Amino acid sequence: MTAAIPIQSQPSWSDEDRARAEHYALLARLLHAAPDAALLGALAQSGRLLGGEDGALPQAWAALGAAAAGISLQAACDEFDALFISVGKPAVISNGSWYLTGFLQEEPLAELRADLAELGLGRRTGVTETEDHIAALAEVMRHLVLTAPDAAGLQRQRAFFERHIAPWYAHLAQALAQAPGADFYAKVGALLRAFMDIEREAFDMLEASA
Amino acid sequence: MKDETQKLSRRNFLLAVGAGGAASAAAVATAATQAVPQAAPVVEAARREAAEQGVSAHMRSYYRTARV
Repeated sequence: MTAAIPIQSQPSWSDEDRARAEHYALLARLLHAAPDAALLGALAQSGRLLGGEDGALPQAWAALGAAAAGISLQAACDEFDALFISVGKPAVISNGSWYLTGFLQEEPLAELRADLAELGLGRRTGVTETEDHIAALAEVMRHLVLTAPDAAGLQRQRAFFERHIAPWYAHLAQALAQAPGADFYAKVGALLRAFMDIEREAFDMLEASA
Repeated sequence: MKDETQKLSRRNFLLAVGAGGAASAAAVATAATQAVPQAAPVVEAARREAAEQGVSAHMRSYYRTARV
C-alpha cells in the first residue's frame, strides 16, 4: 500500500487570463524602465503576430511593433529619459495621484496603500517610486490575475482595477500621445489605453450580469 | 450556471477583441517574459508567492510549448 501524496492545488489559468497577465507584465516593464535590445526585438516580433487593422488592440500592437522595429535602442532610451526622468517635474508623470488630484502623494495614494495592505502587498525596500506608479499597479493586476483566477479573484481584480486604474489610465495615455518628442512611448500609451479599455469593458460585463 | 454564462460571455469578448486565446498569450509572452525579471516597484509579496507556487516556472514551460 502506498502512502497518499498530498497535492498542493495550483491555480489553473485560462488562455485569456494568461494573455491578460502577460499584457500587464509587458506594460509594467515598458513604463518602469527604458527598453533593452531584446525587448525591442520581441516587441517587433509580437507586433507582427498580433497587429492588425480590425480593432483598437490589434492596431495598437501593429503601431508599437512597427515603432519598435524602427527605433534604435539609444533613441528609445533617450525618449524614455526625456519623458519620465527629471530632477523636477518630468514631461509625463506616471502616478495616479497626479491625475486624480493634481498633486503627487495625495489621498488616492493613501487609499491605495490601505488596499495593498489588505492584499498583503507593499512597496519593496529601497524603491523610490510610489505604489501609484502605473507600472506598480500593472504588476499588482498581474499578481491578482495569476494568484486567483477564480470568480472571487476576478471580483478582487475588478475592484482594484476600478478603484485605482480606471479613473486615470486614459489621462496617462493622452499625456503620452501629446508629449513633445514622444513617438515610441506614444505607441506604448496607445497599447496601454487599448488594453485597459478592454479590461474595463470586460469587468463591466461582470457588473452587468451580476 | 449564471457564473458559467458570465464567464463564457466575458471570454468570448476577450477573444473577439484579440486580448485572449493561446496565440495572443504566447505572442505577448515573447515580449512580456522580458518583464518578469524586472518587476515594478510594488510587488515584493507577489513575486515571493509566485516563486513559492512555481508560477514562473510553469509559465515559462507553458510558453515554451505554446510559442508560435
